Amino acid sequence: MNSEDDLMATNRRDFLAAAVTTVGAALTPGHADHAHDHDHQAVPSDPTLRVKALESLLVEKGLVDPAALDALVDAFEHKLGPRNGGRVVARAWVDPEFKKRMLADAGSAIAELGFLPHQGERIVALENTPKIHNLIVCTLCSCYPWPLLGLPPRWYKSPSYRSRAVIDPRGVLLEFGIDLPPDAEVQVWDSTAEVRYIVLPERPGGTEKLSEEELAALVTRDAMVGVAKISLPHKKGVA
Amino acid sequence: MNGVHDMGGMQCMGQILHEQNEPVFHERWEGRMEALYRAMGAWHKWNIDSARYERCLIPPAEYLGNSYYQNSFLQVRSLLVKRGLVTPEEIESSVPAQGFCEAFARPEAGWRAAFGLWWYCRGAEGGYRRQFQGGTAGACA
Repeated sequence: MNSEDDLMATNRRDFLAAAVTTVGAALTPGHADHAHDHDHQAVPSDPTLRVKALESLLVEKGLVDPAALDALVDAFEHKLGPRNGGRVVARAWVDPEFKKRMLADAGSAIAELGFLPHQGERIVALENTPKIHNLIVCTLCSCYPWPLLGLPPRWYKSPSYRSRAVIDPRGVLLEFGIDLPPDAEVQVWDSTAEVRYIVLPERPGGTEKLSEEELAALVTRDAMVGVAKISLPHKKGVA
Repeated sequence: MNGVHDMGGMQCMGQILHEQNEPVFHERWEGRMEALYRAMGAWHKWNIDSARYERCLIPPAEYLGNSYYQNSFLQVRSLLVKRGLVTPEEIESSVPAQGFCEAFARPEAGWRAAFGLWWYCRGAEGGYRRQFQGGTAGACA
């Protein structure tokens, strides 16, 4: 372990040194000391250089295909994401039988809509009611229901959320704008690699006439994590 | 394993910064980093638990000072070296060692493949794959 730590420390230093050299080389001679009123956008940040160096090494060794990386980034940005979860929630709102299956075995229920686990995880759905409010967190890192919500937002992975969600959930909820009545119970669910949770939020009133698709569009990521309630964007005209 | 990563109930970690309309990645390198991590998982050199363990080995002060994806970088780099996919010298120089064995990773079909379900390396019967399984990546036998 010690030797590995040393190794890591050495490599980190060398990477930084290399990065500094590269940044230096990227600057035009004489440019650094002139008075200027523009940003040096052209100079890449340290992590940019380090990740690029690692990628190029792996590509050169044939260990990774840059096209696969492009495809993955595209999937993270455009194909995965809370709209998948929104479809599942809307289906549960309009189809009581589906909702029953969802609460009994979310994995099988979401598979009906074509969503499969990515990492062999089990997904559990938690129903919010006027008396029970569910909140999900991963205190250890960043486990999250990927197939339905995509990658977690930065705050979900932050030390502040991970530490506070379990010790002061009401305070956390208040910060997110949810003021729960004192008689409502808060249940906090700590995710693991094996079990991921998704909150089934309460369906807002005045949405009886909306189609399943319109309902799905109302569902937000934050509501499925349990840090928001769902409201109608324009109350006028719907109710 | 306990450690600084086990944050439930800790205090004084600051305010939660809730960002409206947050992008999936704030900077381009974050997306490349996440993609590298997922794609390299296709070699089945680690599973989710052993990968997480590696992340927990990051020294506490560094772990807390880094962003999520900065920690991913340290985690993945360490996994790659420990599992013999790259050598420390290669990491240091960012170029493959002389006489390294080239592997052939390529996605079979679309983005799902990149999650490691349908990847393979060429020469599974007698070539590259055995090199990697033997943990001797970086030098041809």
